[in-house]
Amino acid sequence: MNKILLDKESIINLVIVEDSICEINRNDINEINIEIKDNIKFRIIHKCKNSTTNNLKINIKQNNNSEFIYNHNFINNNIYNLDINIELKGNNSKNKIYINGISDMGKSNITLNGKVNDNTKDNELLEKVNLLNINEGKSVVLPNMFINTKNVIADHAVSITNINEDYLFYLNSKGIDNDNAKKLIIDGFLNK
Amino acid sequence: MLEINNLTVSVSDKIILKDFSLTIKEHEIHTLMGLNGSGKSTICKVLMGDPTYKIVEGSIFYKGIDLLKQDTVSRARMGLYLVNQNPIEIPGVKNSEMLRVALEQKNNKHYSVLEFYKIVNNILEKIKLDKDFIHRGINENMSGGERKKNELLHLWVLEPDLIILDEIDSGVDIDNLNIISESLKEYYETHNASFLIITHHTNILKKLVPNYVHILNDGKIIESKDHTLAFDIENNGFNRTNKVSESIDYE
Repeated sequence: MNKILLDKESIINLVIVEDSICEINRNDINEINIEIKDNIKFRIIHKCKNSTTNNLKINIKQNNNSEFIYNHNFINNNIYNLDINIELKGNNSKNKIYINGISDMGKSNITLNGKVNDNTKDNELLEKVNLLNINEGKSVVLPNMFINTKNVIADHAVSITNINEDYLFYLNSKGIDNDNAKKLIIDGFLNK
Repeated sequence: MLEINNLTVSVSDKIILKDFSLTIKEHEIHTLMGLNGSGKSTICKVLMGDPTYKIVEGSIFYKGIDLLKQDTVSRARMGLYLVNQNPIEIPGVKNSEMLRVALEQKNNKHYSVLEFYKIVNNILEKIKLDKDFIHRGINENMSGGERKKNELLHLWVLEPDLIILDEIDSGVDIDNLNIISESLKEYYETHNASFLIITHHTNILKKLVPNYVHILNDGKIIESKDHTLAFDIENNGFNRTNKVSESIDYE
């Protein structure tokens, strides 16, 4: 599969014409505009740790028979504003957004706008966000779906939790102190 | 080894254990039986330091140390080990990661990947678990039997001295229960360990024969005897004395 490397630009415009995968490990990108052509699969694996304010907007337009998967793991110690705007313009396309994030002292604001155009059919739209607040961290998620057709599968799920006390007790009862127990839980959360 | 004296415990202002006393000596097996809600699981969680429970009165000493002054982590490192009735799953946290941290913290020693897997692979073979088990999330998507065997894996790796089994036989099929019982028996024989077994049945007690069986009623031990008491209870129920007298009256 074709691999896409992102250089130093803060605004990135991509037109995807081949099946591709892109790994993002930077946190200095402000905007990514993606258009996925017919019959193309594109996946982004995005990992970042934010210690300064970070504003990122991702705009995705999909045509016919295309697939877009976005896997995003983050740890946020500051202010993280992530806006994702999806537009399914054609038919028989899939768009799947998976976000697992930790708000560690910081505040994470995530807005998902998924739009499925009218006169389209057989599209799938999935938005799944799991956030963990630690050390007074805060998270806000707005999972919006603008569905203009009856022929679509659309699903969204959001969870925002603190560290589960039962998990801590279980790990403590194996002799693992709180710091290491929390680290295990956080790593597990990001990897699940 | 373990001395519980006149322990009274409450949760949400409701008294669960009342004046509960129990002594377990080294290499002894004790069984606690009782009706649902009699306080059996409470004593397990109290021993492990679950903060949900409030100690109203009494003392617990383990190897001469005041256990009530120790937190859960210290208790575990001192050698206490609890297998819960329904071991929780922790999504994403792998057995291998958790066990390596636990082993390193307990023994205050770094284990290389090779050293760690050498220990673990031997145990997996012993308890008839697939080698992939170590890479699975803690109890994640596991059946009741698998969860109990997973806890057994942790037990063999961490090598505790006092093992508290809270209905380890619940939700486990007979074949897996036999494997678990055999393994616990082997552990008992090779590790000089002591056991506190909470159960409603006698299957596990045929392998791990208790020195004492205690009946818990309304938060207090009301009767103690050798292993025959467990079989008596299983055959005749907790109201067996009444049943016998009814029978005699009838005759």
